[in-house]
Amino acid sequence: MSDEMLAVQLRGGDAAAFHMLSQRYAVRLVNFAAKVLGSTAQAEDEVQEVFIKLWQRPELFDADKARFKTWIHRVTLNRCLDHKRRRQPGPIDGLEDQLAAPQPSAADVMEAGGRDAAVRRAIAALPARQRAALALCHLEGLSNREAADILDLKIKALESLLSRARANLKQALKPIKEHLL
Amino acid sequence: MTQPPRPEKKQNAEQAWEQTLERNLERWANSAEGDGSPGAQDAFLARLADIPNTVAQKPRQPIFIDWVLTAVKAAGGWGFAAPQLAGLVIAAYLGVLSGAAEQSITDEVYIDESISAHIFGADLFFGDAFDSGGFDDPVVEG
Repeated sequence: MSDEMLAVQLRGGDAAAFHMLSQRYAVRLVNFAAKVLGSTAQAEDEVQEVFIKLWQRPELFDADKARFKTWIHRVTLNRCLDHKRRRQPGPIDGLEDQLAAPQPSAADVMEAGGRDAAVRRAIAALPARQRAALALCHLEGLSNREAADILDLKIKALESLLSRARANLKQALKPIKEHLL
Repeated sequence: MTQPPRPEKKQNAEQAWEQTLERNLERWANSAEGDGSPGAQDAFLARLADIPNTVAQKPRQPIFIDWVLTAVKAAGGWGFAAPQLAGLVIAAYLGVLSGAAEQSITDEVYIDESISAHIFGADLFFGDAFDSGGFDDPVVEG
């Protein structure tokens, strides 16, 4: 049965439909949210909230406006971005921490944790929306059109966001370029 | 003296770098974060499976609330900030009140733009319309 039909059945309080939708999307959404938030525990909390909302207010999904897959990714992304915004320290609060703990370079991280750790660290340092764009476009099964819809962008704007993300990443990984090649 | 790299060699190096980056991004995007073991995933799915037993569905909100939320979101999309939105809602409310009052007296509906001008500052929203003589009544300086 399609996602959209299951979502309609939710309106009648169909727990089986809810179960099927959570089986289809929960793990995938946690993985995506963890890429944006950088923490699996936080990602699980946010995705759980998404599913609670879905159960409480299934009518918020409108099949005429979006596919279920796009919609649920978008709701999850918005929750993650809100979460990051809430947790962001103010310019004064964060300044002391930043001065006290200088960020390790890509070379330092690679020495301590290997190439993957260095790449992860560099991606984690990107702005959340750039990270979300990279995750969406590299996750299996999502087209650029779907990724753009989730981010509420036109395709051109998505391409520009991706291009900025890749440029920033290249810059961050430049010191260990030779080791990655 | 060292020779600068030939253009095609430089291009190849750049291509290899791009491909390496893409490979790393693929690996990052499709790897599980934290404890991605089946056990951890099952535990999370069990948490979700409990939601229908523990959380009540909310009754559908009245349609007019949907309408107000849509209007507020649309206004946000046009770049209205929260204080302006609040002003807009108050102005609309006063406009409806004054319109209703006028209607009861003259049997005509019209929006009292002087109230709106007072709230927003004429330049902010209606300046052009006033300046170009779009409305008959004069602006009330606020």
